[in-house]
Amino acid sequence: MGHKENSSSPPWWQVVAVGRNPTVTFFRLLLLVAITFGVFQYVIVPIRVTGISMESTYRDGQRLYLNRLSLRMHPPQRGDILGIQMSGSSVLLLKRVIGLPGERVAIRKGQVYINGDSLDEPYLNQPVTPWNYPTHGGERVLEANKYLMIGDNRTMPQDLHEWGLIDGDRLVGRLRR
Amino acid sequence: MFLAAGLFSGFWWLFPPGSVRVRQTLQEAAAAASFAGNEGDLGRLIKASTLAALCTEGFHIRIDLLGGIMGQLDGRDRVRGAALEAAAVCGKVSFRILDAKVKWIRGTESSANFTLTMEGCGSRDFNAQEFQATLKKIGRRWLIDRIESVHVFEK
Repeated sequence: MGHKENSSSPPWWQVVAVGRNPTVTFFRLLLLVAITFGVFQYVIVPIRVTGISMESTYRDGQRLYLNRLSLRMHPPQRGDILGIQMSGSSVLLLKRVIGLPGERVAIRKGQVYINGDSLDEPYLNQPVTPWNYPTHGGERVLEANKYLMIGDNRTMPQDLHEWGLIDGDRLVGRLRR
Repeated sequence: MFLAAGLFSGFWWLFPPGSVRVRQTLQEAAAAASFAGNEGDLGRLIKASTLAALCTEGFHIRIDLLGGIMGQLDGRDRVRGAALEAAAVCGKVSFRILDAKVKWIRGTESSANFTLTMEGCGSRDFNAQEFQATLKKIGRRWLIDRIESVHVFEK
């Protein structure tokens, strides 16, 4: 009886390579590949920060993950750091949400005003450059699906920093807070 | 089934659809505009001429440079000159086209959006910008007629 069991069991190298049941192993592998693909396609976006526009919150070369699902489940909120796509999601811009659709926004001498009230920005731990927006004065009312997004490095001159109003359709994912 | 797949692949390779040809032209242009820094004068001239050959006679490019400055260039001959000048000034410069998406093809005209990244040229920063290109089909080739920066941020 013992001899018969030994002859029907697969050789050790096969067990190591593909398991006792290759069909089951194949389907497990297929499932794993599908889950991995699904997670990286629809849930997580791994990114590497390049540039200085998000300093001092995030430094050049830092590796982070964006959560796509979170953005689908909850609309962007002020203070969120979101990924913005260009023609695709190979290159993403990382910026912070400052103004939301329907709000009146203005920046005077580096101080952000939302609906006339000054905005407290504790993440800005460096002296800011006196930016002004709109440049001709007054306030800008954000249209539907438009967000005012700026990087955390406001020591940069206004013209050298990529910032402004973003269409909601360009938003890709949210950094975990 | 294998024969059908093989025939289909062969047909695809021999006669790629317009969108594939458009993307190929853009990729070829990015490769021709990149310089390793160790090319000789002839090598640079060949690359610059290759780049110019991928553009139409009336080629026009408008790029947003840093600080709200806009740079523009008109004509195929100016492209060759500008590429040679850039190669001399920058030394090593590398362009890559990512996420090239063909928006439409109407007869002999097409439009595509793409993200262009640039590394080198003395900058340690990673520069990326979105562009919109219009291409024209001249003979069997798609040539770049117009390139303009896309404003991701609205002011």
